[in-house]
Amino acid sequence: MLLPFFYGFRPLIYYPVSLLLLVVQIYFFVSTMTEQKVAQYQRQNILEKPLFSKETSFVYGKWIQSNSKDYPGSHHRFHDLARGGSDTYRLLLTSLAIQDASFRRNIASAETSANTVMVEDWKKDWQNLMQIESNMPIFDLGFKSGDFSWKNLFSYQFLHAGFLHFLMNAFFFLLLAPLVEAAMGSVIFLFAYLFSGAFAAVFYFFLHGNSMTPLVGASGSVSFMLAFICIYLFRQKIHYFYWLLPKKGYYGFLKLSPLWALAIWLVTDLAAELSATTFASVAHSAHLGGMAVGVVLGTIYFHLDRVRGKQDFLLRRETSAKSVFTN
Amino acid sequence: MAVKEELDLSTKCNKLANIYDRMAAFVIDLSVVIFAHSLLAYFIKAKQNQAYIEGFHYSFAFWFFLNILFFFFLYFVYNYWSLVYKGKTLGKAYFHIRLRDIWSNKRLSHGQAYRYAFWKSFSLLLLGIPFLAILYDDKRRCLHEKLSDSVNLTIKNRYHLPPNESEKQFIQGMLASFRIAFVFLLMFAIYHTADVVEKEENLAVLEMPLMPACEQIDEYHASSNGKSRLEVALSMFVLNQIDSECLEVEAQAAFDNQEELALANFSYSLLYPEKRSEFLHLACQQEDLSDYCQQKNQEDSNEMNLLLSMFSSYESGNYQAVHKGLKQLNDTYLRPHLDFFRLKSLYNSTERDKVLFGLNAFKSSFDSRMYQNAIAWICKQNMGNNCDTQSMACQELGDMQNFVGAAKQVQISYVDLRVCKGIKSALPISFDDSVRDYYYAKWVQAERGNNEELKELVLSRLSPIEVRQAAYHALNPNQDLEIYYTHLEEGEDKRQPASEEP
Repeated sequence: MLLPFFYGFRPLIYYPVSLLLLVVQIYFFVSTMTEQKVAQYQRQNILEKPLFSKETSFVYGKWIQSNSKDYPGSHHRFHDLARGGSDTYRLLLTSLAIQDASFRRNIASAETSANTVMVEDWKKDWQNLMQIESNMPIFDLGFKSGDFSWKNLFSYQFLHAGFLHFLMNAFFFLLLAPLVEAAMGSVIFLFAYLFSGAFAAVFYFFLHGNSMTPLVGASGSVSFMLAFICIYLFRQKIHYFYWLLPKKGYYGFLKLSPLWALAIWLVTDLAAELSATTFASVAHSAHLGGMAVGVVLGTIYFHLDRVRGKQDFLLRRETSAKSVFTN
Repeated sequence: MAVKEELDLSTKCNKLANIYDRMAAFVIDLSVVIFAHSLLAYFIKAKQNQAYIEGFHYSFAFWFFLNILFFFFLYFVYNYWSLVYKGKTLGKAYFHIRLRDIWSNKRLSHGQAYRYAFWKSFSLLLLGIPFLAILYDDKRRCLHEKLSDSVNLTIKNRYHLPPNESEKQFIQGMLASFRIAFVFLLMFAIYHTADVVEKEENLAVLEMPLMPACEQIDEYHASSNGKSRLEVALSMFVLNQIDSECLEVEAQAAFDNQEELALANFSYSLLYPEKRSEFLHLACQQEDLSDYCQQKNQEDSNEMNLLLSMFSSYESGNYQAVHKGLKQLNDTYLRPHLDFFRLKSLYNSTERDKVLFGLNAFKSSFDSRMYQNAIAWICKQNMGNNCDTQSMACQELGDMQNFVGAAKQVQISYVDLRVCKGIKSALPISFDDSVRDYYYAKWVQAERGNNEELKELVLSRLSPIEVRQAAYHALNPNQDLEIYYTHLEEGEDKRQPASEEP
């Protein structure tokens, strides 16, 4: 295991924008948590109704058949298996139907089965589901590539799907944000952070244009910060935590070029994106988008600061901030 | 002729590499290969994942195998290439280890590197078991090193500059914060694993009852003289011959084809009782298919109405009504099942003696399989009531040649049958005597509590194990016999557990 640790956790008091962004993230997470859980439960109740998944898979199957050119062979295969009586594939097809933006837009014209009792029930359930989703913070504020919205391009960056998702992003945010803020300056960092998140979502939009699966989390911006700082500091050596064996001397910290961290991150995301299926739950493409912004800005800032001789950016930042406090 | 001599390891220059260093170097090398594999094998992995979710099991197995094979190929190439061109892998380089020819102390030749890389990959394929040879070799060589005539040497002592004061402070501080983060990561890993396992289990539970054997519909449909598949499926479902899934597939097909809509709605009324009235209402609007729709007297009903009323009666335990309905329902293609169904209804409506008498008297007119099933079913009913009342049906079942299938059909266990019959020697059981004795002994102990009898019975057997069993029981009268058998099952005697049918 090799984990980049850069310069450790810096005191956020000297980095107001980082502190602000973290507080906003915590606020969003805490304020939406209960609402999210309740809505999730209600949504799950509808999805688990056997009649609902049966009828959805039927209607969506007909939709796939009538627009067969727009859908890959796997969708047709799922449809065949669902028609053969497999509940698993009915559920898969149902989840695909819910993700499919064009299906959701044209559901009124979709062909339903002749089983009118079930269809009436299903229509009610579908409307309920849409209602619940529209009230769910993750759907309301998350970025949906099938339903482009400028507001959501920014709001999605502050939402998280669960506690562990938040925790992982917060861990890297705490490591990286102060460094980037010190290198860029607070105001520019704020804009760069928001812009990189938006760019990550746009990148995701271009690759998954028809999906209604909401994109949430600060991962795009975290990837930006990582790529930025790895490029910006590529001539220096940063701390990595390594663990080879459970024996003293075989774990601890070592100093390596930050480019190793970038390479590991890039390859992991690239490999995962290339081998991902329709049901992947991590938006690796958004990570790659964020990283692209980081590489570009990192290169620009490296050249700018080399000219100005600012390589001791962290120390300068913290000492100047300290002097502000002491005076 | 000069004798070829192995490397002299007694000098300071030729120092054997530390085992921990080598293990750590191995971890680094393996990580490098896993890392490269994740990117290079993306195509294979994508195919593998796709085959998995699309349910192509053979295709998935193929891509999975190819993925594994490619990994070992990469591992082989990585080792071969780095040893031939550099004399060290990345991991070995970090720990200052060099792989040398044991005879000449030179870098490995192509042939040696090939052998080294091949056998190392092979050892890894065997879960690293051949690596354990390192523990039994004076030169700390694993199997692949022995086979390639090589040895791992340390070229110099590991030397690190001591950290300065600020560096030391940083490391101490960071290690503390990192430990906290590590605990969180560990929690995440545990949570994530549990989540994945739970999802897999849920999927497995979902998948299990999915594919009921609906082929019987084809069989009966072929001999049904022009009845539709849905009609056949409906009748078979009412008679408990097929799963609800089968009927639903047929009904759904009718909806898809916009045919027999009334019948399809009728089928759904049976499948989803909570919506029964809605489905039936619709069915009646579409077609006047039964007296139910016209609220007529159900005594003079047609076939569909009869099926519905029988279904409801059977569910509510009104067997007389079912029997009455069955008398009116005259359908040849379902005859064997109707007979069985009628028999069940008759039996449950307390005309028990008549049923058994009738069965015996008209044995020749019944389908043989149905007859056996009926006898087994009656035997099972008796067992549920009281074992002591001797059941003629059980006796007859025991005498049948093909009683296994019939007993299985109605889920009678061998042990139950034996307990009810109570006659050990007459049991038509094919498994060996020791297992029979075990079951019988259990019965004696459980049902009668007469240990002397058990002792006698057990001692009458000549098998040494059984004698030991009896002795054990005589010495430990308060011990449950089950403990003894558990002990035996774990030890030398592999008897079948009581719950397992031979």
